[in-house]
Amino acid sequence: MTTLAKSLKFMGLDVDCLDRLVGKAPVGVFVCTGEGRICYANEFSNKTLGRKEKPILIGVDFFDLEWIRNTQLQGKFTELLNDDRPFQDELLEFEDPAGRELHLSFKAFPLEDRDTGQKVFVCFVQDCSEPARLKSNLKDRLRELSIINEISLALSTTLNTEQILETILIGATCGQGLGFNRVFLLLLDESQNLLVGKMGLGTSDPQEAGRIWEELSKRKLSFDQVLQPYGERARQTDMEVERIVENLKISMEDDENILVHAVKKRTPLNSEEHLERVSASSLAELLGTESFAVAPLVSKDKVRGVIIADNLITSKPITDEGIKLLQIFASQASVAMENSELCGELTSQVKKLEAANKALAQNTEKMIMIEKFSTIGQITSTVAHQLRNPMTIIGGFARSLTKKVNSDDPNYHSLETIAEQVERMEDILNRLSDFTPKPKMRLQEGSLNQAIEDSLNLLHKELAEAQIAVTRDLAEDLGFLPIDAEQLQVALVNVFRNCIQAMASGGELKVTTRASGNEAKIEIKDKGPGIPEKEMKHIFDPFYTTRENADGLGLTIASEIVKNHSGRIWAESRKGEGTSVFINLPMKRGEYQ
Amino acid sequence: MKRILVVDDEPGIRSLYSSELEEEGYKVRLACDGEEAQRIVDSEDIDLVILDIKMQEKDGLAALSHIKRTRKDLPVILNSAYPTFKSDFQSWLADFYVVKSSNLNELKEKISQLLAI
Repeated sequence: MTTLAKSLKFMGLDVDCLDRLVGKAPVGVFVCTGEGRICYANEFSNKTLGRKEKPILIGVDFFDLEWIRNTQLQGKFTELLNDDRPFQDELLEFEDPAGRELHLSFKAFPLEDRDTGQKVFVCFVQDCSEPARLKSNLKDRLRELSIINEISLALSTTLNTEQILETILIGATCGQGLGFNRVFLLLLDESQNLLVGKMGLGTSDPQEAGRIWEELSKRKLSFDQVLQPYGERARQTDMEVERIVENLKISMEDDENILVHAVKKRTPLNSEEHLERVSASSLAELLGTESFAVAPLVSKDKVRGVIIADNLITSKPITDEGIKLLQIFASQASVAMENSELCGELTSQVKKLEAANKALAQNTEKMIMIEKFSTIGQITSTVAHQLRNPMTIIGGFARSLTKKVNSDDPNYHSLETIAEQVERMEDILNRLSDFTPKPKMRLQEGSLNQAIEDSLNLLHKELAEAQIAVTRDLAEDLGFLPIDAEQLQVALVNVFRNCIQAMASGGELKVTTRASGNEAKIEIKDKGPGIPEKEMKHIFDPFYTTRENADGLGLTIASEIVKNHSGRIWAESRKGEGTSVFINLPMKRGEYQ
Repeated sequence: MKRILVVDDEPGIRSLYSSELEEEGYKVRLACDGEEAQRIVDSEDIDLVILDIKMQEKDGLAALSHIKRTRKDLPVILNSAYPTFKSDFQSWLADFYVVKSSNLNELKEKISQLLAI
């Protein structure tokens, strides 16, 4: 007696009882003969494996059952019957007579009747549909997560708005992404309060769509890998998509519009559920389909736009899952757009900071330079004095001797050269001493026009030699203004001298003065060749010169003196037309302080 | 013949001025500092003074004050290597301020201008 038989006997049960127990068991149990004929099948087996035309399996040849044909299970059963090889956990996706999709797990082994020696094969069938469904759901969620992750990654790798918008469109349409057939992006134009079509992607031509998708599905690429080739192909937007984008202009005040509704409610919508309630028919007409999904692009309460996605070619229904994914994707895209905007602002702030830093560095440089010049000035003052005495003596005697020596004398020219060169050195010293620290400004009411006349008088010889005609247009109503006439004269002489040097072969020098509000304005214009733009910014820099035999201090001195008057000096130049130096001086004391 | 007093602590300058001015027809008297200049002005007949400012003993500006106090009408030309003294109010007492130069034309012009009056 077997253990089972003993147990049954102990519990007071008999074989009939066991038959009833197995017959009602929640797992399938069926038994086949060595030829494959089913000789026993319990209720569960009949209910799940039986067909409408053959609801009872007993007496049926197992291999005649349609659902086993060409399955792996068929092979396993053949091996079991021929070679006594048991198997387990053989899975089969299966549709039961009620049309339900089932996932069944088969387990089978051979069994020998001790009394008759006849061999049968027992098979257990278990319904695994629920775990399989959960597994499938899990797989779907994982896929969605993976899509969102990949798209997020792609979005996070760029801060370029155009690239972000393109990634949004590709993410929504490509198979590795959300897999919609077409997608349209509208952005909010805040100035006009309009949602305006910006870009579209996908194709309205089924053949073209088929070609793209087939090509891409052959290669198992990640979203990142697909971005470029798909993007290139997709950029060649078809005429229909382009036409739709151009016609997408919706006022944000049109609350009945499905897009405005989605944006204002901050919620994704399925058009099919809203065709009646919110006017979507005109949009459906434009798109050529009544089935489309809408997801708003909103981040931190700022509306950026809206995405429309449809499945025009495949007519695949838009599911809640699809809408949910589109919304998650839209949120990611909105954040990326916000980041891009922030980055833009940041870049502009950084640029401003850089400019401020540059200005600071320049000012620091200037301060260092001023400090240097102050020291240089003190040194030059001392050196100038010490040099001036010996130069006066050397040059003076040389001049004295030239008068005593006959011009035919071989020493005459040498003496003349000594005298000339000493004079040149003295001239340099004079200019250098203009650069030494000055005593405090002595501002007195003086005539600007007179200072100009005095300066021109000082230069009349040089002007005549250079054949420069001076034109004066001096305002008579200028009156008196606070100037240090002597220093201003130095400044003017330096500016005039610059003009003379600019017109080496003659020309016209025009001096204009005007009273304008709180300022006296001087314009000194030459008709020289003009100053190249790259040199213009340096012309007031100390020691900056493009001429030989020039010390580059003239305009620096002029600038310093004008600044000491609380005035402004600047220059403008046009190539071939000449240069104008402008000096504005305050009409009253403390006007600029 | 007009008598000019040249005051300078630099022997080379004294020698140059002396030679140049004598050539112009002036009688030249020399002093090497302010102290000596004052003594000569007080005791001799001088028509014009050419006065250096920075000197070892008693500088030119102090001598100028003394001269203008004692002999108000005696013309004085300040002759310095420092152009900056021009803006020192003490130097305004002088009739002219000429910066030292190997070209003595300006100095000579001022002399003849002052002595012609």
